[in-house]
Amino acid sequence: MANPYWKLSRRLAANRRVVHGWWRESLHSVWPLAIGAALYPWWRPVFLGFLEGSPKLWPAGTESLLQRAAVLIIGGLALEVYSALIRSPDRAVQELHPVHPAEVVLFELQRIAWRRVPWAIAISAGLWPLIAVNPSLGGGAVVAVWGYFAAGLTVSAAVHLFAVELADSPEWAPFLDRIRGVNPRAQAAFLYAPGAALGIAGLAAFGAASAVKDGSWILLAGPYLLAGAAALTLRQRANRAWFRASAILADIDARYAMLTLPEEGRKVYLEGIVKRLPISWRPFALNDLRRGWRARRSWISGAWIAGFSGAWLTWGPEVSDTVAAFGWLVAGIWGVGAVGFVLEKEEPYFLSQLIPWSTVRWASRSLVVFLWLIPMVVPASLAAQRHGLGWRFAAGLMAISFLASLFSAALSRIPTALWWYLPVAGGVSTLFVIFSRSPQ
Amino acid sequence: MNAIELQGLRKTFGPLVAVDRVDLVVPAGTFCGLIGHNGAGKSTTLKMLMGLLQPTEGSVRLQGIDVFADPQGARRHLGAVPEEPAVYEYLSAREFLEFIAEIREGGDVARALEWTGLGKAADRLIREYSQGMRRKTALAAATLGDPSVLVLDEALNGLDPPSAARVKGLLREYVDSGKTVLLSTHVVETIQAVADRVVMLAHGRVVVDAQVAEIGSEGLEQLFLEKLQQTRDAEDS
Repeated sequence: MANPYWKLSRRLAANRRVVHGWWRESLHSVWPLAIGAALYPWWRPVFLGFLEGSPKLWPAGTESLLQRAAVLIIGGLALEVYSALIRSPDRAVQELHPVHPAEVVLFELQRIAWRRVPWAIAISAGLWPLIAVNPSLGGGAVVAVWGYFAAGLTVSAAVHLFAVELADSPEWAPFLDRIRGVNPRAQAAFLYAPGAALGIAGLAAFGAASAVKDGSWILLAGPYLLAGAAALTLRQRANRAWFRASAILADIDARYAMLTLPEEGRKVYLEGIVKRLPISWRPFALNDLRRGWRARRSWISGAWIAGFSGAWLTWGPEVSDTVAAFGWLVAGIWGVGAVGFVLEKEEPYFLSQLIPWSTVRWASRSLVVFLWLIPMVVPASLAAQRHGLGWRFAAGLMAISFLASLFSAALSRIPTALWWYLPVAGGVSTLFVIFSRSPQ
Repeated sequence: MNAIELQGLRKTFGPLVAVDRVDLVVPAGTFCGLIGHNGAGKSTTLKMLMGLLQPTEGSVRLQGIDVFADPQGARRHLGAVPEEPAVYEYLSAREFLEFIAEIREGGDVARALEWTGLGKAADRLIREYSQGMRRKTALAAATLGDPSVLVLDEALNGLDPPSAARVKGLLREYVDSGKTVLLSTHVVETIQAVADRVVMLAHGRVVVDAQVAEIGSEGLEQLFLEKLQQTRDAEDS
């Protein structure tokens, strides 16, 4: 008998293609390739810059590159596995029926593998310049990358299913209480699970990266062995944890609902600025500030931390590294700028029908997004001044933030506009780095 | 054998006691109505019965199987419609029921579609359905595989009067064939029309557990209002 979950997945995809058109549905697959192509000019100078130096430096450069790839692949897969195994929207349908949990988990992992295998393919293809000049080093790096993919998938699944067991375990309750902060106890287990998966699989991955550097090839098997060991535990863990997760999640959501009630009475970041705005702007700005901050606070404040970290990392003496890091910062600015789309998407339906879109709404939303971006830009501008990059650099960052805000607010009304916004973001970021490098 | 057994069931969320030591035994072949005011604890009780919420204390058994110790085994006997049923927007009702029949390893889709009364709409995507049509689809999915216990949380809400009447008739037939239905509602008339037994919850506790025939058709609403008033008075004092 065919796997019912694959059958369901294919049927849903086919029906979506009928409703929305095959071209729009295919964008999901084409999109990563388009981004990859747009970022290609950056690839060699940013990631394989060490190939321009002495061949003695290549093993160390490859190790460093593999470490970054490990964090990206395993971290990304850990988050994806959490969404698929724990918080999948399919759970609400399937949890009422006597599904076979091991089959569901296996299907979800296969689906993620299928969807995300372009990551491993793209990174392997990107290693081609290294393979061309040093086949043994480059080949080892490719083997390591695929090991990261396998370990990222299965270790994340094992860790998340284990987190379900931890979440309501009385033995672990005191520990979870210490680390949960304001979250419900059970949520602490899920909050730290992606990090734990990254830590466990990352150890084997860093071992494999160092094996590539030192030529001690036996350690390259580490991620594969770990992936195999984790896979062996999955069936049993799935049977114990999958249904249990539903009950725990319902409890977490109910407790969050109680926790978030007092939030409504609190002022949000920048709320005070509203009274300085023109009267016609105020209700829209206040609405966006409150909804955006309450729903996406971690996104916005996380970006600021990234901005500060970027500035801190670029405080060193190398101007060329600084420019490359700022290139990433610009990409980050556009990423956070996309919160404008989120605001529109999460706008209550009745409100979007009741109050027509207007220039004032657009202007106030642009302003709100721009104000959220400022703390990300200021530290980078200070770091730029330190490197003598001049006011033009800081002004450029500010202008890019402003552009990102205007674009995301303007395009947020168009359902497919995110697909336009991202290439424009990539293009502007690339131009910015090229423009910034030219006077050096 | 008892179809449903709740023993000392309690659910708290911090200081809030949503369900407070509920004991309930429903024998097989019974149509049991669960009524109560908003916030009485009906949905929380039913979520625990469906295995969707872990009780703080107490146990839940379906056909003698502990819902939390053997979730898969218990669900083989359970057909459930939660308060907000989840369906796949990009499937038609027929495709949805075919999928559910596959994961339940059996079930007469054609018969379940008759339950829905959707007619030609059964081949339209669920995303085009009204709330009532979605609820009928979820109800039909719950009956697939002929589970011995149906647990329905406000399952008749949003149904047009003819559909509601037909579903009530079908549920009655279901019970007459030896199966068990537990239906939560705050419409007293529904309980009077189809239920054998009524359980009334107020502030998380069972305040009435009686045969509908004993109370009489006119007495039920009166009893509901009296009990509600009593619990309010007790709260005020």
